[in-house]
Amino acid sequence: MSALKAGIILAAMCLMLFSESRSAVIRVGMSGKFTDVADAVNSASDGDRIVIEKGIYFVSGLNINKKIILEGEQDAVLDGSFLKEIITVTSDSVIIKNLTLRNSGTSYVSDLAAIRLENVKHCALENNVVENSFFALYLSSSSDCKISGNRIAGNSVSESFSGNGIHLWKCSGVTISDNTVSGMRDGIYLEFSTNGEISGNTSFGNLRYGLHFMFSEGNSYTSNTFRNNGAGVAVMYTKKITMNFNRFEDNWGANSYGLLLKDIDNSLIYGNVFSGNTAGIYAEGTNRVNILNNTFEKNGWALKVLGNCYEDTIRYNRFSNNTFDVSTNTSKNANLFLNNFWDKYKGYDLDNDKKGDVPYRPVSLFSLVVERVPEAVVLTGSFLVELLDAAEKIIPVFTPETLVDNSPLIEERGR
Amino acid sequence: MNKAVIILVMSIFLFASCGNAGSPDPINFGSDLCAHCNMKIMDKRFGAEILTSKGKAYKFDAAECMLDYMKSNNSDNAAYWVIDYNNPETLINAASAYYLISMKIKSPMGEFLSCYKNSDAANESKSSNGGDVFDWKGLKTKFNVGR
Repeated sequence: MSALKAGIILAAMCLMLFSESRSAVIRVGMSGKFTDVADAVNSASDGDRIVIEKGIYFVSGLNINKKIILEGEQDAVLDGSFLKEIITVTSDSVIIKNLTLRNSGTSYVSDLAAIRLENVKHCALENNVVENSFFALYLSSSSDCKISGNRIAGNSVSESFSGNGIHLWKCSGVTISDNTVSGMRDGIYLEFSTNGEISGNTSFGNLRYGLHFMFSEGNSYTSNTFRNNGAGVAVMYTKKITMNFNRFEDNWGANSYGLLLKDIDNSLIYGNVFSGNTAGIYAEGTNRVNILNNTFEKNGWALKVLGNCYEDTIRYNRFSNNTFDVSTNTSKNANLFLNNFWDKYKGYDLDNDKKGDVPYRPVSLFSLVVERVPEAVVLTGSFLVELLDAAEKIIPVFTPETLVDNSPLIEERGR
Repeated sequence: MNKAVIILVMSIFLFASCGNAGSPDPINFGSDLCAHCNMKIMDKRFGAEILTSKGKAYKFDAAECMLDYMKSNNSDNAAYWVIDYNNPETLINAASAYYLISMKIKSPMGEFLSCYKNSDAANESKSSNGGDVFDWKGLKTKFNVGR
């Protein structure tokens, strides 16, 4: 019996060995069989691995239509000479890794990229460097792909003629993790894309948004850092987005914000840090969104909640050192503010339940004034303004009567 | 002497601004924000503008954003402008422009809408991209914009 078993195992091993030997390794470079990447790809068959040696290779309009691995050794550079797309992938299960790609073409008419995945499944783009390209990694109508560990650097500092770093169009189930994107239009952009997981990325110094969702429901982004972008993250015309443990930092400038919510429903914003933004969160048409356990510090405005937001819950957040905690453009409030820590709270806690005994009104009269007359912001901190705010706090006349935290926390919760 | 020069210069400015009353305010791509969706206007092939009778300009990142805005904001006697897809950054009169909705042209707000200065240009784009051509009236009907 055991001999039979051993025989089966042996046979299985032979089979594995055999199939392994069928997938060839093709080397490109000075010591390789090929000196041209396109020639190597043409000669390869499914399952082959192409290894590109150190050097600069001219590659433009290369179509990968078979299941291969394209991989670079150190300092293997594919240069597109500003002509066309560098690589277009049209086969499932292609892996491209450890390559440097630079100088894709630019075009008004088509969105040329360094690497495009077109209508494919189970592909992976890993640990590549993309420099000076129009769009960097462009996924169109693709699913279950992995974009991980890539470093994308654009040079579009002031021009608007620039593409996005990682661009998803009609994709589903794509994982985007541990990438660094800078100097592009939007760092990461999802349009009509669902069930994506975006984690551990750093997106900074992009012209428009660090991360941008349009019409893309059911995505999550976790533990990313968005720093110093035109605006941090925009989540627009969508629902069911999970946003946890991200950092939104230093998105500063006129009309800038850490997080823009525009026409979004049923989402969760949990455990994030909003620090040093002109506005931490700017919410318009935002319904049934839970904003929980976040930290808002050193922002111009921590929260700007417009009048068309309903049934949002703002609870257990920490507000400190913001010029304004909350501002709004309406006298009505249809959202719940409860159990937050406000550093401007001056109440007391006689029953020692760690909750203040008098309510806190996070909208100051002065913030309403600034909402109407933005220039008035120069009066911030003046004696008259503080007097007005104090009077309004005692007898609210202008500020939304129901926008109130009835049970503010006395102590900061552990971060 | 000096006063005369100042008056002359001022009147030139005055005259110049009068002359410009009917033409749209150019869109500053990369810095202006869309009046409807709040996004920075980036793509030079798309964009639109409403110029009210008082001369206030509302700029949009896409024609569909302007149409959406028009549903809830009624401004009488306003002039409507759109960017010519074939001439990036160039605003043309929306009322006399022609429009193509083609799945091959991805516009910023997801409506696949591009704008052309006349029906020939729109149909030429249609012949290579497919889709449907509309005039301004037809487009407003398509997007359920009143009047």
